Amino acid sequence: MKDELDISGGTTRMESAFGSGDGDEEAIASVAQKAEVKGSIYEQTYRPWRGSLGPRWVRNYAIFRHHVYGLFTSKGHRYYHPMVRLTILIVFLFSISPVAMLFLASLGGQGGFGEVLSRMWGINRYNLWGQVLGFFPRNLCMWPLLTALVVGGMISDDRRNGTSAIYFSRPVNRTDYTAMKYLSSAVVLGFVIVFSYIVYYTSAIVLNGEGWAFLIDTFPIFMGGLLAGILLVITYTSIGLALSSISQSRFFAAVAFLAVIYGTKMVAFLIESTFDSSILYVLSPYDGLANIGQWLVGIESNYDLPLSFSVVSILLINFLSLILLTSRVSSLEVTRE
Amino acid sequence: MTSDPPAVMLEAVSKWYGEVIGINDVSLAIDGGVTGVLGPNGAGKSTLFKLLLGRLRPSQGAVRLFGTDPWESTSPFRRVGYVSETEPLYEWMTALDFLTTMARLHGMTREEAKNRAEHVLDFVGLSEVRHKEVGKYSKGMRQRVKIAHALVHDPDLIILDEPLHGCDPLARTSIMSVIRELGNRGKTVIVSSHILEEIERITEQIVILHNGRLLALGNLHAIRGLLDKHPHRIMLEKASYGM
Repeated sequence: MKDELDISGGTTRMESAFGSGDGDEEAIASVAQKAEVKGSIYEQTYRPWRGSLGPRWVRNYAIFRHHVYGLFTSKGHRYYHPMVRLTILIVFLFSISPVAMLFLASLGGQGGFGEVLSRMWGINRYNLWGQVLGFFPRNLCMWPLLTALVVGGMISDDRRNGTSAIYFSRPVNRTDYTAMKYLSSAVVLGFVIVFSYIVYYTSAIVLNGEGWAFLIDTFPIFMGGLLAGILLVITYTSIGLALSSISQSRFFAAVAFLAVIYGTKMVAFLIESTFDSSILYVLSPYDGLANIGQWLVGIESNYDLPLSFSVVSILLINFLSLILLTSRVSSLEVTRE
Repeated sequence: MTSDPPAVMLEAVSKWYGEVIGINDVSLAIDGGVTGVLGPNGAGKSTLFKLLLGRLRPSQGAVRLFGTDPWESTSPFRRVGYVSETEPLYEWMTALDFLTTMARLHGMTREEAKNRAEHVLDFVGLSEVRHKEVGKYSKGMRQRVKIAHALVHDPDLIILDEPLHGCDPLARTSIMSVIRELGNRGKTVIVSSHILEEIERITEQIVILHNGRLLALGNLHAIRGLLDKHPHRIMLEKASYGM
């Protein structure tokens, strides 16, 4: 069968109708090619699985690695947008930037510029506290943004796409699902926040060639800061995941998290400025953590608020966030009455 | 002497959503071979599957998967593969990566998971496109990926919710062939549809649901024979043509 019809040879119906054949001398009409029907026969052999399926922790580890490895490659793991990965990398690099200053200080030697750098970025109670809990830039620009990016879509993506069903039609219970999501988020945040803190402390010792005496003096302070960092990671993860679990949009969860962190601080600050009352700092997760952190590293508190108020506040914030998280996850993919 | 409990057992199960009845006093046991669940939209097929998968708790009666209540424990899901009609996939992953990930969720090692994923993809006829992203698959290919992901841990019970919905004839034929083969292998396969002809081509063992009630259960031809003994009422409606 010819695929092309030359219609220039005769009078077509259209010519008869409109009385014109001008420009049709070269006219060619193309007939759509018949789609080639392809069929395939495959050998259908089903081979039963003879191995034994791993225990609960192996399944849980699969969930954990799916989320964490996704930061490095989405091949076979959770998808993170390249801009999210880039931002996390920038935040991490910025968080270890004091190491570069310590390196410069070590090159500068005793006295002069080296000593100035060493005083500014060297190990002391204030710098250890500031590495984790300093408001600017860490808790204003870095940690909340990092948390919003990592945690925002952790559960909301599953809610929106229905992909949580992938887990719940397998021997994965809701406790494991929630725990692994929590652990994955906390590990990523911990890597940036806590690991950078450890790197900072370690590199200060190595670059300055500090001895045992320095180590013995500063180690309790370091541990206090470490504990404060872990508390910060736990609190931010709890709040972020709770917001992610009530949302079908990672954007909402991320913005809501930023609003909680900045909004509560802003309101507390305005109330304090206007009415000279610091009581509303109990609502601010950052200020609660900062107050506890100051006590842990042994620096004078700059809050009028009693420490116990901050402790109770942080415990309550975590407790309520976890209650919200577990109750929302228990309703995922389920029409429970 | 004890015998293994059936793969699926419902004992006088009812489920109502407020005033609306989803499933009404259904009792049945299914074990081995392919069983088709037939019924029009709203018959209770989805409710039945949700009950089996522990996503709904029965208002009355008991649901058992391999003798265990799926609402209380996720342990039966080690032996269950589920293909949902609407369940989304990880679109950015290749079929091989997706299935490997799913196999690892069942506790397989990396090597085991990859081998098993390759085998089931071969079984459903997707081995040549296993490195293509799932998001770029046609509807029929996606359905086959779903079947493959339900098979990756070699379950004893496979539940397929409308697996032929939206597939072209070629995809239907290959999916039907996969389902029949699984039944021949001794798996318990439950497949739902609202089209009798589809089920007829897969199995003769059927369950008919209507308005939440179990209307018939057993061999298709036997049920047809029984239907002949019942009086039929045929309604004819005259179409009105406007001038």
